[in-house]
Amino acid sequence: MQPGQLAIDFHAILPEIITVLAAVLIMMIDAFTRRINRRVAGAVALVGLAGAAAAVVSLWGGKVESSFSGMIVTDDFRLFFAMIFIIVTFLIVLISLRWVEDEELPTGEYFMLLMFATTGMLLMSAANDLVMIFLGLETTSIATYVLCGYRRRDLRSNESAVKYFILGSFSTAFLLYGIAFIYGASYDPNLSPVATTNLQLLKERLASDQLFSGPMLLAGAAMMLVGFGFKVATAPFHIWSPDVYEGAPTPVTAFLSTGSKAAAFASFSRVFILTFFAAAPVASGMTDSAVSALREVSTNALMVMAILTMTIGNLVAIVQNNVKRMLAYSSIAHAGYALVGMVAGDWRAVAFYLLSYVVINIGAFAVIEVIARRGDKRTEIADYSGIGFQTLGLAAALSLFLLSLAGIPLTAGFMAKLLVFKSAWAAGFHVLVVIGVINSAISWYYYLRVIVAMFFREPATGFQRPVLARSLVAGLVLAILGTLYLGILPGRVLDALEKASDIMTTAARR
Amino acid sequence: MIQMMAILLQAQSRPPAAQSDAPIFGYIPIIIFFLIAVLLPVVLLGVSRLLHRRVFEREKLMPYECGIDPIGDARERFSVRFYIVAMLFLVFDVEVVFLFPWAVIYDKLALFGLVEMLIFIGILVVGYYYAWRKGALEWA
Amino acid sequence: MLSAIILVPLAGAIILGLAGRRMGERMIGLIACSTVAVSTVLSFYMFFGRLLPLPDDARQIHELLFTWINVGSFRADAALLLDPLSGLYILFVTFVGFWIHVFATGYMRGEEGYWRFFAYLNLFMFSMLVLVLADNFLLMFVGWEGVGLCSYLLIGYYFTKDFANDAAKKAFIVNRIGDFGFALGLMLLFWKSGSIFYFNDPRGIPSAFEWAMKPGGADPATFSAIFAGGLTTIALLLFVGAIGKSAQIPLFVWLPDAMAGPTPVSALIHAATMVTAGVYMVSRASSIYVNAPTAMLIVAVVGAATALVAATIGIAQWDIKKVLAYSTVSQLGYMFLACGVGAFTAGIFHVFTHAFFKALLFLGSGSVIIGMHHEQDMRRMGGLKKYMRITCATMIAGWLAISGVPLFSGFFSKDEILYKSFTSSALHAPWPMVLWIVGAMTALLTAVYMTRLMVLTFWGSERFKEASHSDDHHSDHAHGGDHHPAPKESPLSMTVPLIVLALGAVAAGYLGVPEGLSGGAISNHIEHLLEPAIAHPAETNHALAAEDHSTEFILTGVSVVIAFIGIIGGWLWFKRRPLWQPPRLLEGKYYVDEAYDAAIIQPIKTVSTRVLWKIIDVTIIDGAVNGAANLAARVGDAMRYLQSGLARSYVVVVVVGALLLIGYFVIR
Repeated sequence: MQPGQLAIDFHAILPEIITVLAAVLIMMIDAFTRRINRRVAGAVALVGLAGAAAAVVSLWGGKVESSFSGMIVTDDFRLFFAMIFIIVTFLIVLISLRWVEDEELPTGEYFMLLMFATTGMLLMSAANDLVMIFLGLETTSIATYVLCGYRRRDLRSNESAVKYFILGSFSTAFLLYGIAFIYGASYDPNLSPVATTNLQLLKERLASDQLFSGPMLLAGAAMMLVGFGFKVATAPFHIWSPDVYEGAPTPVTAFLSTGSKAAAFASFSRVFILTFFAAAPVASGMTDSAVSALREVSTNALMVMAILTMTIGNLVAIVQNNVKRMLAYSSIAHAGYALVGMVAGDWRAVAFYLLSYVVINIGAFAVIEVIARRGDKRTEIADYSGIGFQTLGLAAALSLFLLSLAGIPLTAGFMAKLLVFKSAWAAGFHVLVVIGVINSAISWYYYLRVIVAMFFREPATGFQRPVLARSLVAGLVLAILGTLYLGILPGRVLDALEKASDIMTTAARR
Repeated sequence: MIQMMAILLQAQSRPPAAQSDAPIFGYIPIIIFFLIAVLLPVVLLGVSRLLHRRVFEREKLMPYECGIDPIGDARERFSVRFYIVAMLFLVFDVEVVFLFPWAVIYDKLALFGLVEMLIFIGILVVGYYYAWRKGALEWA
Repeated sequence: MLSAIILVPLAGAIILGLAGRRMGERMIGLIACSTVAVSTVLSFYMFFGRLLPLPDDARQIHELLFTWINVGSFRADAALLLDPLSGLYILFVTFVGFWIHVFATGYMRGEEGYWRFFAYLNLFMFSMLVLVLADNFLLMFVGWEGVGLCSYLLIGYYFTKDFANDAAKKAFIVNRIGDFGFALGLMLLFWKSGSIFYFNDPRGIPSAFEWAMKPGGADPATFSAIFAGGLTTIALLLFVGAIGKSAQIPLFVWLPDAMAGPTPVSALIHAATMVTAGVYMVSRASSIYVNAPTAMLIVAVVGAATALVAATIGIAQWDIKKVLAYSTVSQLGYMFLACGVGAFTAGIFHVFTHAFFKALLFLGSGSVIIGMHHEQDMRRMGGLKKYMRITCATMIAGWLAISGVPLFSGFFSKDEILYKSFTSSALHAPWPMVLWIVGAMTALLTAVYMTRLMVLTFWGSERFKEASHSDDHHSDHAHGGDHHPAPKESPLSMTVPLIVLALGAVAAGYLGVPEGLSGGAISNHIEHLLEPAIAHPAETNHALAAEDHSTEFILTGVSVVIAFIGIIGGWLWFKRRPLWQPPRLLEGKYYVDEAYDAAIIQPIKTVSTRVLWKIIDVTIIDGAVNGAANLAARVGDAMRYLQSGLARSYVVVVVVGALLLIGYFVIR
């Protein structure tokens, strides 16, 4: 299917259609009834997500097709990431069902926004065109801006939303500007005189060096790097995330630090690994062409960003006393580890990393959410003192998640780190791997600090055993199972990734 | 601007053969215009700042309101409803923009175009209805 | 089918663990025993019905559960393998395990946490069967750790008692040392050979041993072979694991303390099954050992030394279970001696017979302890034979078997080991003779201490009548009786297993009658069976063939004489003076615990408090931490300008970053 053709194929966007319909349905129920029941809204969301998952599965099968004038692509890359997003939102819905009601926040809108954000994320991984990526990104961003300020009467929440909005718009401008530059650079006045934002065409032109201007391409790529760097929160564009993560309501923080981060990584990988890097295989003879310069320069830049991100994230996390803020920095550090996979140009490692990371991180935030109680009041490490034996199940679950984030063997976190570092090592980035491993050793300190506080400190006063909603327990159990499954029996997932086809490999096969 | 300059420099460093088909030189007047546009206010403001005499009196520091003493704060708060109405207006304004090109080639798109447009409008209607039910259109 | 053998006990453990709390004792016992019974029946079916009909050299049944890890060149499957070696193991593990379960239903009656006990016990069966049936080293390691965990849980079963907790911790820590060696050996093996599988199998996975068996792969005891990672290193590291699990010198100290667990646990885990896992592992890796002669010698010497040392300690113990514990250590030493001289089949055979008679002896001691109302000190027993006829009769069978009286099972296996070590050609000149002498001395001591145990317990004056209750006895039960009513025979649920195991202790030896002994009339089934699964030192076979049977007859005669000397001498001596005070050195177990305390624990404590705490922690680390905190505070101050909370300063950071990035991209 050539991108030039219209190719309307509703099956190809079935997951997105289903999530949108679910969102609209929640909206309508909300509008028609006086007060929407959280169970109804949550159930619609969950059913919608299950339907979307089914649609993703129905699309699975190793084919690579583009549709809607080359706007949408269906390959295993997209579908794998789509599955990650669906898992994220599914878990978030589970852990926040009860929470929305307890906080006395508008129920319908919450789930509606979550579903719209999910749609945007799905589009981000499905996009085969820079414009489409932008659309998906904005859909996600606008929904999450609102979600950040969802606790309307809480100043911290408001601050979080405003900051996120201002800085987010700012960085989106960079992204858009970068897209424009790439668009401008993408044509050759003689050979192909029509500019394009279609990634497949872009890759073909880059590979054959049909460009209007190399520097323009590089400038565009740099600006896109800024835009994506902001969304995935890599240093120095991470600066917004601690404030936003701390202020946002905890389930929203969980969503931001997993879902929208993973979605940004999906687009990031699609553009940089599958388009830019794929257009310039390392071994190709074109050493002085713009595209090999692009690969070299962006690899260097990504490497520096990865090192900065890991180091800053971990070092600053050490001195945090607020658990949410600590996890915000930890989340920055994890973006750094995922970047290591990007440097190696191995999207499979990145995808597995993100899958593991989202499952673990949502689990950790779920525990923090219930311990924080209404209004996110108890989020200091001091509040965790000695709660280990007062609420053993929660503390044990949190310990598991934290240890997994630290990368203890037999959990998802370990496998994920192992794969990322392995592929970076194989690609020859030894220094990067060493720094990554050192960083991961540093991170043990602050993860263990929480565990030590929970089990070995005198109990904090005023701790009450939280009442656990059944849905939250279900979410926690799923997260625990996921963490262990990916850590102990990652075989099936790795196998699926190994076999996954994407534009890059099919092109190589051709 | 720095990027622009850099691009310019890079373009110039290209071999002469490439220059002929590098249309970036067509933009040189625009860059010059841009430079002038930046320089002009900087120069004007700078010159006046250098030359003027500074007087600090109460009257002088007051906001200028046609000779009338100002009442209250200039940063007044507006009702949030203004924004909501403005946003709704924007949405439907853009909708109309999309309707124009559709109307022009309506007969070529035939039934397919009609259905597509109905879906598009349907989505907006849903949003409109939602805003209505949520009381966004009520002014009180 | 194979998976059912391991999964049924697991299901039992899960059911008991989740719902056992609400069940009655009868129900719990029924579930626990029936799951093991199912495993037993399946094991027998798989062994006799499926494995044996296969031709001699193709006796392997593989079963893939699922692919566990498959990353790059590293592949580990959760797959099971039934071959003669694992087959023999599952036979006695399930069979002995079943009868011990039955015994435990009676023994544990009325105990706090009855369900917990059987949940652990079922979990243990699962882990042990995984260990044995695994078709690669990694899965074996999973089972290895699993049995270690269950052992820890069960030793510490009376968790309100300090000594039980201490013993559990001791077992766990000492085993960690061994496991560390095992894990290192495993990694080294994978690194060198690229595989962790025992055999080439239908899934196209190569065997780890192929590398070991390669010509030229064998290495002499050169420096580089030992220290730079060769077969010898691998073999020794694996042996460190075996030392820990099978309680050999120097790590044997945990096993006697492990007797703090309930007696069925001692019988099942610390006598019959788990502690023999080390022998299993060494036999599994026989291909590696036969090519690493240095390692073989070390295995043999450690085994022989352990056998002798533990036997001497066993003579001087008063606690009936402690005697049996040291006896177990000693017998395990025998098994390693066999492995070390290249007679792996003899070692396995001894594991097999030992499982019967040692489980029998432990259960018998348990029966005595119950009959004596939780008394374990032999000084307060005596003359029990008329109170506990069945227990006494069955224990006599075990006594004769372990002492090596002809026609009992222990005779055949022990004799085989002694003979093989005497004639071993895997070792250099003086060693076979030395090892044989040590083995023979151990045999003598074994007969003596077992006779002492029997005499003190079942014969002589009824000392429990005069003995006033003293506080220092270590009963393994939460409540020791204050008065001593007459001892009474145990209930049927306990005596029936005793009888069954007694029959086993008598008969198990006939599976492996040494061929020379019977003049070929009865073939040595065990040896033939294990032949394909075990590697032999290259020369041994020729040596055996060349050996004529006269040597074997002479050695056997010597063994028999030794056994009778031990029994008769012991009988005469201890009958006369049952309370003879043994040398303090032996009663104090050579003060090994004290030596460890003085040589390792106290120095560590001292270093910890004086150096690590007072100097390093307080001065250096606290200093560094405070310094780091200061540094972090300074960095934080610097960062505060960045992380000011003001959106506009954030914008500045982003812009600066963006400009740097774009500048780099454009200018390069």
